[in-house]
Amino acid sequence: MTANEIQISATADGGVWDSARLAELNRSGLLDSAVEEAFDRLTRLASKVLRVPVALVSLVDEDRQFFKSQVGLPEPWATQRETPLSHSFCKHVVNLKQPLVIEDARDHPLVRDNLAVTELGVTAYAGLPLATHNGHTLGAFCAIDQQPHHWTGDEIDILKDLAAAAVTEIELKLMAAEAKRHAAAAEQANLAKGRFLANMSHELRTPLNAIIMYSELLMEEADESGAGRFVADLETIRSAGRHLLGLINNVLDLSRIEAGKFDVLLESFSIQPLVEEVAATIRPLVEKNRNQLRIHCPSEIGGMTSDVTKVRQILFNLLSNASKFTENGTIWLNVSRGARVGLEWLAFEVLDTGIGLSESQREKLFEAFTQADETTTRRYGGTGLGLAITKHLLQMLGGEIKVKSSPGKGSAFTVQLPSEYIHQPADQSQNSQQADTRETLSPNTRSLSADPSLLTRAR
Amino acid sequence: MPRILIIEDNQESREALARRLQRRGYDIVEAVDGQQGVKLAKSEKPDLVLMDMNMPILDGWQASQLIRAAPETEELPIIGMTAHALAGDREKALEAGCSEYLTKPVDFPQLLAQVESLIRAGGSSRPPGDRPEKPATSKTPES
Repeated sequence: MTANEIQISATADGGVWDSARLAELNRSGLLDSAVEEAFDRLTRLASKVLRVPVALVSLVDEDRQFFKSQVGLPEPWATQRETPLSHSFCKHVVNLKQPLVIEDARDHPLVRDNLAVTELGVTAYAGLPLATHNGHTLGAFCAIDQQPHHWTGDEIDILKDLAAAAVTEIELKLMAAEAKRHAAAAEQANLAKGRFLANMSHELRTPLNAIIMYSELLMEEADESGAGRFVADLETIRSAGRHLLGLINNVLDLSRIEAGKFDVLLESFSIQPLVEEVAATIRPLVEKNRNQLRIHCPSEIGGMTSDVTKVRQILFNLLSNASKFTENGTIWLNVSRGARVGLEWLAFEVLDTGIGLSESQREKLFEAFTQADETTTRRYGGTGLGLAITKHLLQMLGGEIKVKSSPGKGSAFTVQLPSEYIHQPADQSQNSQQADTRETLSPNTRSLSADPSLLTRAR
Repeated sequence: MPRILIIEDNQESREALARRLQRRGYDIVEAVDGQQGVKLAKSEKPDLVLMDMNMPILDGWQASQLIRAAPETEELPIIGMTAHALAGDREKALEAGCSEYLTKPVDFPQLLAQVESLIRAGGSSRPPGDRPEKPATSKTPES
């Protein structure tokens, strides 16, 4: 092959200036990177085993070759760690995509005019392509002698193995770089999702608020102006609006929980008033399906330290599910206190005589967006997020949930919560700040947390 | 008649709240942003403020702080409202000086209960009807 032919093939696919090859070389992050032992031990080995003064890991860029590793180069090249392509034999390996073995460069048509011969004293050269699994030859692993050298088959085999080891290191860099890019992209996507949800929340709720507010307003005015026959229809609009709002809020809650943006606000509160309040709120839902609600909460049950808003939402979610999936039946809420592994726990048990769950349904119960099956969604509605949210909330409060059920016989959900929940301080640094905020806010927090509008969000 | 200042940039929300409160016998003053709200809180001497927190020009958190900082309005009860209760919104609202906090769309019976108890606790010495009928900024109920 003549020098002219090489010049031509250099512009073709896979040659030095192949853009995909150059892109991969850049992605590897190896150009101008620091010296690394993983590569240096390979060049050292080559020099010693083959008894040659110089060995290189040369990465061929568009206008230079960069030495990721070198032994035995004369100055200034050793310090600069690069030469122009005018001084490169390795560029030919990249163009050929094959080993280049030269016994005496001064007689070789391809390289006899190469400046490396005169300025670097390169006489004999054996270079192996550094080819990645994508088929790009990023450079060459080479051994250089300053006098004519007859390269034996064994020597070439050794160089092949060393080149393969260098390729493994290069692939590692590429994979690490790719993992980093993926992580960055995932983080970007997650941020975009968060922004989208925040915007969507606002954009969807503003008109929805108007629909709800005006239907409520019209209900009042219709009644007074003698148009009472519209009230039932207006109530349908209103309750559909509230329902839609509840669904949107559930989706947002879950995404916020997943983004770790749900704070835990600890306070001490009495359990009985909380249970009564939840019962009063849930009662219309219970009675809608002609169910009875039975509550067992002894007056000596006392208090607990937890996040009252989340406990309320958990109870509401469970009771709301029980009401939804039970008709002409009974729903029980039993509260009891017990000790386990040296701690006091409160058990909230929600039992129903509803449709129940099969074993396979129980397995998927706490996953987001899964209801028992699609006909459940059509018949009973909902997003299938209630129990996923419930489980997340319980995790935040150090609690757990168990379910027992058989089809047609009803379900029993048991929630266990520590009586005195203490945040793991090592867990998140934010928590200590929250505790401080709570100190200053506790008088108001109590009255605010009795906000029943939060309860509607569990629906 | 107790006077309520509604500070809310969204016209529908503002109107619906105003009409429903007027129906219950409250005198309503409306402001469309925090800046106008702070001004009217001083000049109109309302008994209570309903404050949207997400507003242009001056948001509800800043406006609440300004109302709290001025001697003539430092005791004025404020009920904060946001459309989406992000974690910390409630705390931020209370820190900024709100007395209560509600998520929109407000539960109207609950809002009324809070309004009544805050006005009563505020020791409003004016029984309904004590105040002379009033200015251009206050809207009269639509007929």
